[in-house]
Amino acid sequence: MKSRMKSDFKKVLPLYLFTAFFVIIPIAYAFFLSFMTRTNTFSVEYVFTLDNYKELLKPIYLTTFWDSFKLAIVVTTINIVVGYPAGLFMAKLPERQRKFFFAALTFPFWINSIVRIASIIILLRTYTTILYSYFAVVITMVYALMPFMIYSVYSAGVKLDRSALEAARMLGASEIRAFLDITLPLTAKGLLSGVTLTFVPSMCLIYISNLLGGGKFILAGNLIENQLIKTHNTPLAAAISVVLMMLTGLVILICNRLEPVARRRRRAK
Amino acid sequence: MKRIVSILLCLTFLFSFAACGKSAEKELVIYTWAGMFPDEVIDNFEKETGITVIYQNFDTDENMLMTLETTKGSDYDLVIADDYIIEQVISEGLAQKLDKTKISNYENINPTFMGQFYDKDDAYTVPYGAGIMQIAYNPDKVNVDIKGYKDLFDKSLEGRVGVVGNNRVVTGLILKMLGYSMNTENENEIREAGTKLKELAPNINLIKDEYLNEDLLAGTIDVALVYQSQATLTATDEKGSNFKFVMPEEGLGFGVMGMFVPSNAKNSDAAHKFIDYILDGEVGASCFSWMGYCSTNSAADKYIDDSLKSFLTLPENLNTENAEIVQNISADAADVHEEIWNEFVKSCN
Repeated sequence: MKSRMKSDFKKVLPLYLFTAFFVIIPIAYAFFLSFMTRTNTFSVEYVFTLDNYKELLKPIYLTTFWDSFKLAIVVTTINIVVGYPAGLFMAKLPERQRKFFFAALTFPFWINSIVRIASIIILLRTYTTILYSYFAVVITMVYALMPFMIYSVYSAGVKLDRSALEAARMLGASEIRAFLDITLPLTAKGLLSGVTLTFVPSMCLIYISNLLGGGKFILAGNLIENQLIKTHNTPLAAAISVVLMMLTGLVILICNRLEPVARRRRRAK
Repeated sequence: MKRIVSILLCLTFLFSFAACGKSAEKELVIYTWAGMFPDEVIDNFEKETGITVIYQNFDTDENMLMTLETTKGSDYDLVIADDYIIEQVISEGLAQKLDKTKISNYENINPTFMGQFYDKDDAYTVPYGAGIMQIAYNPDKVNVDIKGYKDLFDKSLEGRVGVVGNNRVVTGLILKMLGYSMNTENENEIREAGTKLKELAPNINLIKDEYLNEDLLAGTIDVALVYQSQATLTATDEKGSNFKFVMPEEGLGFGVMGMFVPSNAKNSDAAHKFIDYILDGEVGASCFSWMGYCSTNSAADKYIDDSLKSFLTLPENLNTENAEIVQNISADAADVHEEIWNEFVKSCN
């Protein structure tokens, strides 16, 4: 038994090392840096300070965080409204058609996202007047993130027990009632993971907001980029990252909490 | 068995590195942005000298500086970058003094671009292209006769102006318009420029550093504050033949790119040969025509095609007294710049 555990540990060791090197150490370092002092020669002095976080209380940073948050909510809501029914619909299809839709969703991913976004710019520039507007940013973000929502809902939808739905309908539940009591709780996990997968990136997809918004929309991600590349204020950039991580962590936490709530609703009935 | 294989693999790696080291004498590693030399210039240099050119790119000056710092000035034989970053490179001791006896074409350098702030004695650098910020506009769609920055504020231009995405340059030009230096470290002056800049916000449709010319030509914007290379690209396009280009009367912002040899370059000899080759008049002319930047080489001027001459050579009556280069400023002043820029960008939407 002991030796078995040992060999198991050996098998997962690369994973541990990978996580340590590429996830834990960088995050810990960013956290550490966010409390350091920036010197006047653009380097970092290892003296503890809370100034970086105080700086973030300036209206310009607060409003930027709030703007990113709003954009993420708008993008995620549209994704739910469109992607949730689409994912459920796909899951209901016969296998052949399901495969077809699945492939149709996957194909665009074979092309680099920057290339796809460049083509959207050309399309919008040629056929519309909305290029370099908030609207253009929103629709492109929805486009870029929609597949994540559809896939998540779809994978939950495929596992949905159809006989439970049939039983509910036979016992007189209306279509809406059956959806609320059976489909929604059983696919809530997929929906919420879809929300996480679309909400978190939409706070930081700065290349979309830069390219489609004509550089006029600052997201939290832009603040980090500017502090690092233009102003060379690494500690402040680290502080912004830490706050952003906490915000997204909060969203994930809320999503995780909502899932059992949705399930409990089913059991209570 | 596995162990033997891994040992063999390690050895192969070692030998492949050793092999690299041996051929280095015939190699010249150039480190700069993409698209700085036409292919034929590189090809001809290789043919003439038997030196193989390895071209490596960086995307921003800051990345270049970071790489040089980590490699301690080795790995690259010749770097081309912007003025302000070269100042930092030299102050950190990452560049080596040029041996001018090896550069026979040295006198070809246009003296206007010598003795600049980043290398006052011209000990480390040779200029390679310069740019002046200009205003480009489509007179068919714009009813204002644009002469300078103040005309960009005209009410009729609402939502039709584009500017480059470089805060120090844009705010710097506003500072010039107000009669201050682009490089002022006086917080009040920078904030005053910030307030003025905000007045420009309603007119802004686009803030972007690269390829502003495409948006000008497509008509997404009709007026733009552009880099020299973008002005050249607009003018040389079929659709841009009627566009107007203005050197703003309030004063000019310009920049110079320079070539330097990193302190521990493996093949500084080849780097000197390359500098000498580029300083040749005809070669220089084809380089500047390709890049779209202003010629820094007096001998090259006469070889530049007439259609491009007005863009690639300095106008004779140019008032360089009123021209300024963006330089490094104190971190505190840079913070104020960042803050007012963020506020400006936010008020554009």
